[in-house]
Amino acid sequence: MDFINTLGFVYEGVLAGLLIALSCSMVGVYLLMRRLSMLGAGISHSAFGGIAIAFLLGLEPTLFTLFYVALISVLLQFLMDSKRLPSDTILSLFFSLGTALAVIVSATRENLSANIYSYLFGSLLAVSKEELYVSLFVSLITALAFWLKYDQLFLVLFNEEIAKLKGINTTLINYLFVLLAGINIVLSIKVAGLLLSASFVALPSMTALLIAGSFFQTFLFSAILSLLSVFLGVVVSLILNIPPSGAIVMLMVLFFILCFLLYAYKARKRF
Amino acid sequence: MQEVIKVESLTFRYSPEEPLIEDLSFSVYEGEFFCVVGPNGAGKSTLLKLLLGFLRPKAGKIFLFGKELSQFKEWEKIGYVPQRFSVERFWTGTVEELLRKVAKKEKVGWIIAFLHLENLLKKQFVKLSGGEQQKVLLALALTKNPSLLILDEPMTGLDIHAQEHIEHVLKEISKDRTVVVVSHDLGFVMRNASRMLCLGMPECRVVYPKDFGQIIRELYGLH
Repeated sequence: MDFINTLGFVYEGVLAGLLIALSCSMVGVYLLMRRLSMLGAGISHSAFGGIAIAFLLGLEPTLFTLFYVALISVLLQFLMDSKRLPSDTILSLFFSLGTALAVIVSATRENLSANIYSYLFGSLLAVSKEELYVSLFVSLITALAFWLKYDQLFLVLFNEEIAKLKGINTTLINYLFVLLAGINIVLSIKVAGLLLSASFVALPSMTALLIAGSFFQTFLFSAILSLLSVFLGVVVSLILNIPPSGAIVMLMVLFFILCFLLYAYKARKRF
Repeated sequence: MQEVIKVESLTFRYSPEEPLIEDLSFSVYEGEFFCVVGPNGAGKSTLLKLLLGFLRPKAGKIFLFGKELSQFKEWEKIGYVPQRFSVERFWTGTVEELLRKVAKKEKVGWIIAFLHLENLLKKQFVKLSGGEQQKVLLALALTKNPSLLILDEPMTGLDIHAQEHIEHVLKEISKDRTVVVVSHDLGFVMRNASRMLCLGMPECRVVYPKDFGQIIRELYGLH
């Protein structure tokens, strides 16, 4: 009974977690197929810099960081398009810049560091009603983008040159989905914390990749695994009294291990 | 005969100092099986990217079906088969998903039958053999029944049986359309090309079948 009461008490956080996990699972598949899984880590650390600036200027951190990361995401895609440097190198630049900004800003005033560093671990239980609405809005936009652009995305991820010849604006698709990835990663920071937010993007999609038999199934399995991990993670965290973000990511890893074993077993059986 | 492709004084360079393609002019006519040959780095694939508008030339003009490239809008007339290695290996789509996304089911029926893809439809593209992947890429290029088919290294990495099969398919396809192929496979070029463009020589030139042997020996330093 206590457990159900507690679950009722944190429903805003759980709902926000489920929404963010769902949209992160979709952008995660896109990033994985473009070999940009590390974008999660790069963006979340960039966001760290954005959070620090927001606190320094006395602005609302989540909203400011959303705009800040949107700008960073567009810049990131622009640099990747220029093809002067490999994408992982560009990501490491933003990773370093964000962290350095946060370290410098947090050292300027004593009371800032506690606020800034609280984002390292995040808390699903501390999600406000406003943040739930923002999560709902972003998830709906993300789902709508995937629904409307699914066919185009399918071909762009297969081969950009073929997609271009079919009249698809590949530049628009890439900018749109990197932007959505950035925004979703920022929201996942509140739930999972900066250090674990990249897992929301990377883990369910790579697990889905192991077991999916088609493009559609990859998105479907990634979404199911994400939702399951968040829901069960919250339940486990309430029962064992451990942080939900840790429990959720541990479950994501557990699902990966199970699916990997299943995949290895099936592969062995074939030969 | 109608000029399907016309290239006039085309120049392209990746770095300011070294032009990869300089002052190149040639035409491809309707119904031709036109091959582009040359050593690695001679600019063969770059030429295809220029023809398809993926890259912009530094100088010169390209005409497709009589229209300058910037004015050309009828891309359904062109089928393009990229190098199969350019497909992302973590892409999880099936052959059926792929064909359905580019054309309606009734329009791809003849391609599936012609290329014997029936047993491959439920399989994931990345899990197919090289020859099977090449057939699927061909099917994809043929969905709009294009009058010009452009292929980039269709034989690379295929075993001898797959090569024979793809060559046979290309021969069939070329009966009622223009085909432009970039290829390293000199045997394939000698057997099929109506003319070939040699890149990487001091002077890039278009060669007729009677001179194929001599030019290929010159181009690749063979004796």
